[in-house]
Amino acid sequence: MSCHDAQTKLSFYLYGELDFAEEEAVEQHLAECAFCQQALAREKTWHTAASAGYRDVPLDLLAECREDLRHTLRAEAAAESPRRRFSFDWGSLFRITPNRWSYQLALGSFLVFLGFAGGRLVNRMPDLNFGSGPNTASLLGGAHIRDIQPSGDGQVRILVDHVDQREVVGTLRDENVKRWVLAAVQDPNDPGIRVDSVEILANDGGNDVRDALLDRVEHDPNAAVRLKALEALQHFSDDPVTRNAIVSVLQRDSEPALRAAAVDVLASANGKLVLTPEAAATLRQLARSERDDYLRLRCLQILQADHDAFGIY
Amino acid sequence: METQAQAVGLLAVGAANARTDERSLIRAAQRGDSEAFEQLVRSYDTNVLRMAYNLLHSEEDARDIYQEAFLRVFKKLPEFRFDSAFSTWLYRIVANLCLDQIRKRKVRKEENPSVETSSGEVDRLQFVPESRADVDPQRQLLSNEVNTRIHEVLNSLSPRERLVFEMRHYQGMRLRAIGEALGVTEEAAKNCLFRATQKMRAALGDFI
Repeated sequence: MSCHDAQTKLSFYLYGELDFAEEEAVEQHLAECAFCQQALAREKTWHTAASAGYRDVPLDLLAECREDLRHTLRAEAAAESPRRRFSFDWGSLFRITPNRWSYQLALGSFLVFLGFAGGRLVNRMPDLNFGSGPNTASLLGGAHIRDIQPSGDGQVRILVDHVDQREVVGTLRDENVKRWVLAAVQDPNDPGIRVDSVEILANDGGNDVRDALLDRVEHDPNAAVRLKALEALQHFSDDPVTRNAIVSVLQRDSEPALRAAAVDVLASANGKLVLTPEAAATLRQLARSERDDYLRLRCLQILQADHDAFGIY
Repeated sequence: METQAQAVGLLAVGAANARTDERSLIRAAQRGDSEAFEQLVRSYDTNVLRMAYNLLHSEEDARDIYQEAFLRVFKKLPEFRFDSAFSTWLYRIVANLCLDQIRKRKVRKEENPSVETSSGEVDRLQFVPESRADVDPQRQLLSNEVNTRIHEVLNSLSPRERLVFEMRHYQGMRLRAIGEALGVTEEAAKNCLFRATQKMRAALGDFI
């Protein structure tokens, strides 16, 4: 090891940051080189001088910081608690008591908003990702690269799906428009589009609309879309197929808010309520075992409205 | 020999227990246990405050860094997944806050030779201990000059060099941990430290 090599490593040697072999080499060199021993002594001197100027924290400053932090965290925890409950305890969020109608309404609206906003965001993600490149967005336009591979002779093979945009305007009476909306309600990529489409279909009748809504209620992965579709099904609430689907939601949907909405849809036709034996059985089951007070009460109300079923109960 | 091996074994067990304890504390704090969070804070806050205080030479700024760092830890703790050591994660937050503050200050003005304290502005050199200065006036003069030069060099370092030097020289952190905290490789942290020590050596060459 040369003197230059040794001296460039002296600080790391003092810090203990050399690996075993380097440390051995430096020590071996130092043992034989008086010049580098002096350099090491100088190195130690400035290390010590630098350390001497280091100030410890005044104790009162530390105490004040701790006290300030305690206050800040207390305030933060108070402000944070609803958000945390929302993030971590969905169950408690959805537990709706009979006197919390406004809460349920707000929650439903929020779910719809969440699905809508989420969908919009997902839709814009590619733009955000590509935003860093100067011409990427303009180059791709409405295109989507499906595959890209080297073809062996220095060339690249790119498979591009090109999407043409066009505008379709009309009412749902126009079969063409309706077909588009029925397709949009199943758009797997954008829950926001699905929510919008469900909302548009809610104003229309017909078995094709009912089937599309039932399909969303039973199969959509997004709770906001399911909720919107369930609300839209109110127009069909006296239809046996719809009622069976709603009962199915009551039995299977994991979201208490959805189950609560399903009960409401069933109850909305109280005047002419006709419960199928299966629906009555489901409601009786819920009235016995559902943990949510609101849901239990609504089940009992519906069963009470349907005297035969209540009699059995 | 056996005793030494036993001692090494005990140390290893102690370190493992400390890690487990910290992990339990973090888990409890993640569940919202405020006492666990406070314990976690107290394990590190003296070092965090000392680092900010010495880097920024201002009680007010150090206090701000302390608050902001632990507030961020509090908010982000539920997302902490033990991918790195908690200390690395914490120091990453502190380092970024300090770097931002140093950069802001560089833009605003050159460092003031005096230090803000609760009792007003005090000359920076008053903080430098001079144990043998009374005995030898010439040594006192030299000591003052050395310290002045050290502060000048520290202030002339780039924010990153300053931070690496602080973390290695004053906080005693390993280069690997410094690299992780700053989001750079150990080699990059080593290069940074090398540049800092070189500047220090060059500036103090006349005095030592």
